[in-house]
Amino acid sequence: MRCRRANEYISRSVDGELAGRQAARLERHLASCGECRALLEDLRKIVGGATELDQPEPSDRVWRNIRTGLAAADVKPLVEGISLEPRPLFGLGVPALRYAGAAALAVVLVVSGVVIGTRLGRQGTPAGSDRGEKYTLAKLDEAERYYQQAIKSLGEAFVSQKGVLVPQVAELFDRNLAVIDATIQACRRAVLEEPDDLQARSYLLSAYTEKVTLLDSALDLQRRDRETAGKGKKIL
Amino acid sequence: MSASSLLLAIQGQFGDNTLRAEYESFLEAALEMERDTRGGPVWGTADKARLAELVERGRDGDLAAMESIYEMFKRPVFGLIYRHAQNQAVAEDLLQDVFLKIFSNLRNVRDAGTFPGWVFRIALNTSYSYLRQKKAQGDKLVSLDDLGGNVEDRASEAVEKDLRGPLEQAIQTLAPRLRSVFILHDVQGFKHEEIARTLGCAVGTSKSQLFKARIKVREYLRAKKAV
Repeated sequence: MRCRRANEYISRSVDGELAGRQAARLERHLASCGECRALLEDLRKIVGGATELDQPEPSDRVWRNIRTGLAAADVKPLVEGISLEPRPLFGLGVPALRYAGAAALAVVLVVSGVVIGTRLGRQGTPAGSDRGEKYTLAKLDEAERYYQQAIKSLGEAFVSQKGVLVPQVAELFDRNLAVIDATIQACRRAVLEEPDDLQARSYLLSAYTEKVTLLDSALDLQRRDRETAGKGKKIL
Repeated sequence: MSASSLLLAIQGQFGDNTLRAEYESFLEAALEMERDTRGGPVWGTADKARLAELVERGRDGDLAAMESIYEMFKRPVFGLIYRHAQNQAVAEDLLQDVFLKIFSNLRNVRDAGTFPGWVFRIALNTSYSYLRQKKAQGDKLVSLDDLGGNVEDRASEAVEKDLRGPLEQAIQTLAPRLRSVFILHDVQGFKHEEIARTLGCAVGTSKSQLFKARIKVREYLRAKKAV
């Protein structure tokens, strides 16, 4: 048996797929070929090591964002101006929260806009890119307005229910909000200085995303705290 | 308007090839799922009855069912995406994108048996699309997300005598397709038949690509004196 064929058998052997005559042929080859023996040993280590690699975990924010995105699909009639029976999102009967959905729509717009923006920035071909760039900027403006609406509404909902949170948690949220607000201010200044800078705008919108996510987390926590408190009362 | 149809609408307006390619690859995956129905389900590890029930409920907009589907798939899908993106925050954004695409198109799922393959195909297409965009952007842009928490950082935290750190690094050196096969087979334990369906290739191709991937991983590890 040549080494090339032996290599194929070795890979199958590592996966436990080699038996009978083929396994015996490989054994005979390995007895006389140090390189193939070394390959078999290494592949066993690699395959064994691969099964022991860490399984990374996504954070809870991912499902929260997906849920917000799914809610965005539900608020379509509102976006288009068709009346819809008000229904609570995230377990809260706060109509303003419908803007969280709008924020998710904005996320899609932003992702698209920023990708296109960076591509346009790279191309440097004035003829076709001018119109596209203006369009991208207009879309980013639109996304920013959605974010601002979402943040305003989520912020109001958060403040109105703030008493539900444990004081230390509320303080932590306030501190995080302050940091994000400072980031937003800094990004806004950069955008005002260079309104056509797509990168600056993408950073600003990322900061808005962070704020929407944080407020959404806060509302989620408030809802859970209220539910826990409700259960406690029932037990009592 | 669903998130994905919105994406399509935006693409039409912008005329952007990258996004169009991404969406086309997504549609291709959806069509492939339909073709898969002919071959019957091969995902032996999934609880098919439960999955079928969840997909059915998810189609009707049951949020709890969607959350259960997410819980069922989030770890393997995230593991796959994470090892392509090499960054926790980016991988989480991509994971979110993948599941929004899935849930927005759940009504198109006719056979729950092909659902897992479809999920992983969308995850791979999304990962490849991200890699293409990243490559196109080159080194000009440094995202804030790139400044921390990447695989290399984590790998360096591993104990030196441990193979895990160098192995993670070796996986990052693989070409996307080889990387996918290696992760799906050797890290996540999928069968070649499942991988072939996910990647839309022959079983033999999956096997030969795995062998190539292992050899490249070995070369890297030997150069690092890790094996």
